[in-house]
Amino acid sequence: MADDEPTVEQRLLRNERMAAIRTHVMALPERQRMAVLMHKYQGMDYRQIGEVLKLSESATKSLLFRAYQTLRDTLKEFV
Amino acid sequence: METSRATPAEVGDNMERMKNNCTGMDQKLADMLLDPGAVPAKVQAHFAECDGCRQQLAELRATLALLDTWEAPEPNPYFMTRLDARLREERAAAPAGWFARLRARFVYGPSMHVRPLAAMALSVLLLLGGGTYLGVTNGDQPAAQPVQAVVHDLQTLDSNASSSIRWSALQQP
Repeated sequence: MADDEPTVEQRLLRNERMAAIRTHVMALPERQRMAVLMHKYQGMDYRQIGEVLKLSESATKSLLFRAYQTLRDTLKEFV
Repeated sequence: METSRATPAEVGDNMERMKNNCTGMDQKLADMLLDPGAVPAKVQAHFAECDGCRQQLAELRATLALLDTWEAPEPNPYFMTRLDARLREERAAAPAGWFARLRARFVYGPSMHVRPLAAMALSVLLLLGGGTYLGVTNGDQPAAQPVQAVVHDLQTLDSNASSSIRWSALQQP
């Protein structure tokens, strides 16, 4: 077995972390969740996200910032 | 890595001024996190010097890094292959006849758009049916005489009766 192969314990921890991220991202208010998914996982820029959510660029940034603040608090034990 | 920094005196002044202003740094923190290239040097200097703000920024950046480790599950590749094939088949298929299209519209389409049409059709049927019924039931009745003609006839009869009485009176010896 290769040395860099993750152990069972590491895999469990990773799975737990993934599940927590998923749970907390999905628990965000709808617009914050949409903004995070578009920003982090669709690679869209602020202008594109703003067009989808009918927001200005600065309002989009504020929305994302609030979402990331919430996630910082809820995912603190995994950071 | 060496970075250009302000002189100690300038930093001291900045720190003194900005420490009192940390409460208003939320928007700057958002800019530092989401668009660091657009943040003025003065604000960047504050983050370089203020432990509290720097720690907040580090925590938020760590959160973003943590989010990077999660990937939304991709759909099964076989599902996408089958879906693509199905779409190609539908595009290549011969266009259906009008009856098939109409049937599909009623079977698979939303039923909401049919309701106004059905209501309108029912109204037209009621009007036509009601009108026909009234026409049939009233058809055998004689048309109503105009009032003036009736009065004229009565006056004529009355006049004839008077003339007849006068004529009888003249005939008597």
